[in-house]
Amino acid sequence: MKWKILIVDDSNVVKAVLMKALGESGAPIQSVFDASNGKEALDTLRTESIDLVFADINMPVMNGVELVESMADDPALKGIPIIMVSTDGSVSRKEYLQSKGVRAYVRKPFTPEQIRTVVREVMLGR
Amino acid sequence: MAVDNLLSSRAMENAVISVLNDMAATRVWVIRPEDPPRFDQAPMHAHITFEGPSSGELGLLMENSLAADLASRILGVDESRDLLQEMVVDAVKELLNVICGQFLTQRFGYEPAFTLGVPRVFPLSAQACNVLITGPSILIFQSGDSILPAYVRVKSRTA
Repeated sequence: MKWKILIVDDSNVVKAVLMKALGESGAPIQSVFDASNGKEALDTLRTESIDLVFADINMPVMNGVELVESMADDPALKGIPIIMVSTDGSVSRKEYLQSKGVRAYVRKPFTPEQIRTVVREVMLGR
Repeated sequence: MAVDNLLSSRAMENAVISVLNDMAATRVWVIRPEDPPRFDQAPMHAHITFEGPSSGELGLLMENSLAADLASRILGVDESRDLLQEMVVDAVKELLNVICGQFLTQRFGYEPAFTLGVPRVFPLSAQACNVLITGPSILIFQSGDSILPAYVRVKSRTA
């Protein structure tokens, strides 16, 4: 089975760097979708069968925390694994997001190796 | 107040050095010239605000050539062939966004939660920049032959 991945970030640079890292990770990827904020992400999540979400926190329109809360409240989206990728170092916010179902947290700046490792941990449990 | 400014300045110095190294494989260091350097042409000015237990702003000034070099390193693309100005601006914004996150952790630790504004890049005349870089909250970094002035201002603190 190949995965459909959604990247949610308002920075085209982060999207490009993440796509490159995912492409080099060896992960079985069918396609990568992108969104610039939480609202756009929810639109994509409701029309595509997404297997994994990468999301930033600080975004205009709808931020990453609001996206995670919306997904947690929606039975159809609740089980989709989410990896947060953010500059935010707050422990309390990280714990809150994990309580809402976030599976992993990667701090910017990240390396391709970190992305490969976190995808393996979240999607394959190793 | 003086101690706060010194702590902020040190946190900013560490954040800029580590983020440029980690994101753009670029080594920078702080210089303290007797006479402040001057821009002959309007540089790129990147600015971001933050709010939380303290609020404030950070900024970077850089020539377009340095911005393009950093962007090409971040994106892993050829500067002369594949780099659009839009990508350069986006890369500088993201660089400042990450620097701001690192600064806040270095300055205030992991517990307070801050909300970052959306980074903006906008032109500032060479004359205005040359006035700005004589201010007290300026750090001047050097990267190769280029200078990279940066500023941080922590505006207020609540109990």
